[in-house]
Amino acid sequence: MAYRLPFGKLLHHLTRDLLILVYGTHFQALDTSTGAIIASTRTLYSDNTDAIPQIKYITPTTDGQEASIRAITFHNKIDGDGSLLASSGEDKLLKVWDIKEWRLLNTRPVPKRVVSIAFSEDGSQIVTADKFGDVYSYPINSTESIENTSKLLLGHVSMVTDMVLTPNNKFVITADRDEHIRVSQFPKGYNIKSYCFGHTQFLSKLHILPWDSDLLLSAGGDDFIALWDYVPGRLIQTLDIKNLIQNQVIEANESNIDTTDTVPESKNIAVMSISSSNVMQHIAIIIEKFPGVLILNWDAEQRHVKYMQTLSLNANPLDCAYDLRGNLWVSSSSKNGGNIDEGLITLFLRRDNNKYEKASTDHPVVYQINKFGTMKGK
Amino acid sequence: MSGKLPQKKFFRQRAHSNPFSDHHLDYPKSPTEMDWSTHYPAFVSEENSSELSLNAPIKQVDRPLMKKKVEFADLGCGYGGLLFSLSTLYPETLMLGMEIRVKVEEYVREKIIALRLQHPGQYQNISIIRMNVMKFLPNFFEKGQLSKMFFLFPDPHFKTRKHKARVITNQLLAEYAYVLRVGGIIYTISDVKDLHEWMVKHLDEHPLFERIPDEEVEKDPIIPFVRTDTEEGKKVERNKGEKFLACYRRIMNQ
Repeated sequence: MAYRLPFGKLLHHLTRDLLILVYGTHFQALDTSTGAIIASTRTLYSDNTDAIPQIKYITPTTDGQEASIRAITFHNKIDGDGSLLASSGEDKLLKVWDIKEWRLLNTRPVPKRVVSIAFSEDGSQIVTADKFGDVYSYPINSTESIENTSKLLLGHVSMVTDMVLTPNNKFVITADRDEHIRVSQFPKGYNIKSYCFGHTQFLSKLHILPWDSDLLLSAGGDDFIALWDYVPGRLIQTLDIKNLIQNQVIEANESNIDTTDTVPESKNIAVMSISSSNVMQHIAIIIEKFPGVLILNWDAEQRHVKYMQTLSLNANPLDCAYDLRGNLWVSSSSKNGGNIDEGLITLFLRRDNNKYEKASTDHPVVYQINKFGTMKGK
Repeated sequence: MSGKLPQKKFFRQRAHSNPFSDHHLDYPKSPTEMDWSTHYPAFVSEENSSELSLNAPIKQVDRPLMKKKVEFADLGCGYGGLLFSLSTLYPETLMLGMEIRVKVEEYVREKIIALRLQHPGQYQNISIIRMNVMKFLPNFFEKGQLSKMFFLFPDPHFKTRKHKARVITNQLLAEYAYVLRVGGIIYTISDVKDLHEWMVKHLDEHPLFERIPDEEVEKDPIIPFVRTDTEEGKKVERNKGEKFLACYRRIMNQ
């Protein structure tokens, strides 16, 4: 039975009302203030004669990635309007896009599959972390061959699972499969500043708090997430999330909600995504096969994160992103390959008391993307 | 507990081991959580109190305090030849051998136990651990803890596609520079010229290491032991092979 491919990744711009939604080899761009689809690497989906709004197709469509996209990032300028997007996938091609004119700027091959990408603050360099464990930097404009321009900054022997550049670009932080979080100087990555020791399982996500950029949140296969003062490598706090979701799974079991595809008790958890909103200082966490989003808020006095609530969903989420107004966009997978009754994108609107309200699937701001987004899967 | 020395023939193991695989190793979460008292019982501090670990304010870790920290590390120590020689040369310095191969590590462990029994008061300053030095070195040693690191006759991993498994690489030199103090020394020796040139090239290129001139190296009292006291070293002698030595000092970041 045919179904629509879910959006595997969501990425929101730091200063513009722009959300990138990734599915397979494609991505689409949405204006999060109006809900208009503004660009796409593929023709929009349509199963009837509904009018498809005018959008800018990224042409030629042969510019797109040749295999599934695994990493995507904006050039986020803190004081300015970054207009670059970088993507890379299973095709081992690193592409840089202009998001004002929606066209491909350049493509270059990379030696291994890339896991994370970051732009330097001034936009002159792209930094990639790959599955082999190496972190390279490249100049944005590749006029010379790759051998001459790529610089190996550092490498782990274990597989690197995430990489972030600190906002001041003084450090590059890498996490690996063997529980390490390493803080190295940038760009002289051979100077290791510190390690953040404390995890006992693989890492999958690193997230620097936008409102306190000395602090790093880390998560992976552990029962807890950790908060670090990363320069000295000091652990500030751990927050148990396994118990949080376990209790909710038990409640769901008791009320006979279908939980065949959810986290079973006493199994290990895996965090898939961490997003944050500077507007309310909230953090949203997605855990694999948990049909909800954990929301944490920030206690500035104690410098701690605190569990606030869980937003529940009828399907398992894949990724989430906050927009500039503090609304949370969540993409869900279809359950058992059947019809999505929740819509591809679920929007949680931020309300005055910093609580969330789930919008209907044809709320104007999500109407187009739910109706015309992605494409038919098999 | 006979104190009889183990015989190498019962502890033979294939030379190569893949450092990228999972080897079911035991390692501490961080250097402050490593219990060294089981390795160097003679160096446990008299005053023993529970210590509030600075790196983990949430948990209080009860661990015997040590009088000293490990300073010499033999990375890929094999059958322990260097350790046994250096132990009596520097009796007050703690040295650790790290070896990834199960049988070989067992041999060294049994030999240390036997020697400690045979020579009371001696060999208390050396120990062995089964470990993958390419992955977990920072779990054991704090920043700048070590004063000497030994890479004696490392696995050459001859094929080009295996070069990434060599113990000296551009990436790993950053980790070695992290655990080695400024002024500390890396000793490398190999009978494989290609590997020697590879190690020299990578160390020469690395901003945190500078080569110690050969004349100066020869004055180091450890050098004769580096050349002749390991199993590999002795094998090279028997086969009349050449040994290529290169030593580097860890320098400050410019």
